[in-house]
Amino acid sequence: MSITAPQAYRSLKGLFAVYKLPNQSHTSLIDQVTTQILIGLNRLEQRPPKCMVAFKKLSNVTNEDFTWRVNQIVKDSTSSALISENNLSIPTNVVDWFDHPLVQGPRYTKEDLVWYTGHALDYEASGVQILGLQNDGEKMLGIVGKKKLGRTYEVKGRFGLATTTYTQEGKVLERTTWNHIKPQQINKALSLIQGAHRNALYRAAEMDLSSNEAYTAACKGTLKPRKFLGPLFLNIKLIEFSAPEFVIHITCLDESCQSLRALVANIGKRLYSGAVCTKVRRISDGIFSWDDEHTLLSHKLGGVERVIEATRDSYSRLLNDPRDFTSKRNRKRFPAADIPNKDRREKSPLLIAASENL
Amino acid sequence: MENFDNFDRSLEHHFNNMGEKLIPKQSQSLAYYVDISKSLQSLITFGVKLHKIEKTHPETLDMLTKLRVKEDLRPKLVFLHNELGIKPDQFADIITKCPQYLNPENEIYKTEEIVEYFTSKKFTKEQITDIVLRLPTILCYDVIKIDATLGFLQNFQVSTKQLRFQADQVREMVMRSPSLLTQSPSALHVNGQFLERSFGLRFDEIKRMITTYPRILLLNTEDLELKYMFMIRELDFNNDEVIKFSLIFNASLRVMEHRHGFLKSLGRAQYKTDQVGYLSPIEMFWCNEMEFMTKLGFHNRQPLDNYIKTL
Repeated sequence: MSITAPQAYRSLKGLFAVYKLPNQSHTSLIDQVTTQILIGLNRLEQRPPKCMVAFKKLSNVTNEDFTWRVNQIVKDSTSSALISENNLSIPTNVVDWFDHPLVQGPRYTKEDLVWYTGHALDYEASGVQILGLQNDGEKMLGIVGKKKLGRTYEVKGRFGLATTTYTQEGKVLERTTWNHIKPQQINKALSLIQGAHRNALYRAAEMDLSSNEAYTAACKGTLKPRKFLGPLFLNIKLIEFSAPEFVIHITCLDESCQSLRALVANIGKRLYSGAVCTKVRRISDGIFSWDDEHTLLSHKLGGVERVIEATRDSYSRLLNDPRDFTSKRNRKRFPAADIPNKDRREKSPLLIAASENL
Repeated sequence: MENFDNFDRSLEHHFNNMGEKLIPKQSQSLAYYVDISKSLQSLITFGVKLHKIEKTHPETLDMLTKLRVKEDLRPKLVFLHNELGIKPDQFADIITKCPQYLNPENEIYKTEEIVEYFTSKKFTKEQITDIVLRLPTILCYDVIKIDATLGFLQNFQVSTKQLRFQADQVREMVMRSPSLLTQSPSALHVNGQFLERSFGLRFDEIKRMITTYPRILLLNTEDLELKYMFMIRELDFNNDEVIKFSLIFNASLRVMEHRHGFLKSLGRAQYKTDQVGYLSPIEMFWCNEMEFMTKLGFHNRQPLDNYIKTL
């Protein structure tokens, strides 16, 4: 038993992750995904064409028009006499050519799918991108976005150049040597940056750092600032260093792809050389990572059923996460005077929406 | 006192004509007129996609509503069936792509001229039906323009020389890509100049290239340039190998990059005939993804997907 198109359309809602390829704009990504989903939806079983009511004289009524109602009218002797005397007409169902699929076209169009996105990637960047469908996607994105889960990136850089746009295609400001650089020096510079950003985070959290609450929050990863401080790079690691090229993994908060490229240039400066970013790639965005089977390639989604499975998988992951996105208990544990009353009384639409489906 | 007969008389007209359909005077779609006209209903039974004609050929909508079944529709479809041997299942594709064929101003003798012209150039009957099925717009095309393009193809003019093709070669080129016939000679000349200048090929090499892959005269010059640079830099091709494997230009750049990178990660990217582990590029880039994976010995697409997720 395969799904019908209306069933599939009703279950297409929520969040799922897509792997974006480099050198692609955001609008073309969404166009790509919509066309693939629409092709899949319009191939499934559709509703039959609607009927139209036509008024016919008794003599013109055929065998096909004999519904229960017409039968009643014809069998009653009084009503049939009335009809034939005054030359009146009977309502019958007739095929409506207006609603034929070859006349109207495909039943599902672009306007039926409404997209909401998480943190958007650059034109040149690649990696995991969260997309939300319909109203449920908007609500879930609002919840997940407020929690400020960290994003990890893989950034590739190259020593020896300094440019205006921090990439190889910008105007060259400097050419430098890089023979003097060693991995221990790079690690030192990265740990300096990491420590400075972490200190800023602890200071801005407005919690008593010697208390147990702050310790448990830091262990869980929920110790986050309430104001906007700028991009924070909380965990920077060197993974590969081969001659002028190097690879870093960064976890960050409130960042943009250009800020990562500026970081790479900053690293080059600290090591008395110049650096330039060749590649930015997002490995994970909160719960979604590139390794999963449910992160789909943008040009090869694999069918409508695969997208539905991905949305259901994200539902279950958000509900079963130990960080508790939905419960009210957590809000009582970490009260703060600065939180306005609005946030405390907020309900969890995620639970309501998910319980309807399950 | 009012007369009840007069009261009923105004409603008589309404009750007698209750099934009347209201037609708009102006509309941009054929959906309002389909309930009334039998010709449009018969087109739908054949399978013609009217929603496509509204988008691609909006100037023919006036004509389609005024069609008559016996005088206009029937003789043209009978001509397709008898003279060209096309089955009724295939009428739908032809009419969706060329609805001007049903115009009563385009009389049948013009299509008869085209068929006679092709038979005079020694195309067989089966070849002509093949051309019409793959390129339906040729039914409304001018014979003089087709003659001009075929003449240009046979004496292909490059900067200083005319490349002479034989009649058999021209026929084969047309059968492999019939959309060459609707191109103007200047458009073909532009691609020929591009082959000479940016690829740097000699005259006999250009001749070989056009006979192996005639569709290269239709492709966009920007795409051609990018693919050529990819073939020379990444795949390490000479000009001879570019001509030998010129069927690869059919594949898109993205497909070529992904598959070549995947083979490189496996360590099996060898395209030279002398070396061990030779893989012919045509078999690699001229097939589906499933066929590509089965040729390498995998059962899934997952290894390829896992490689693409690292880009």
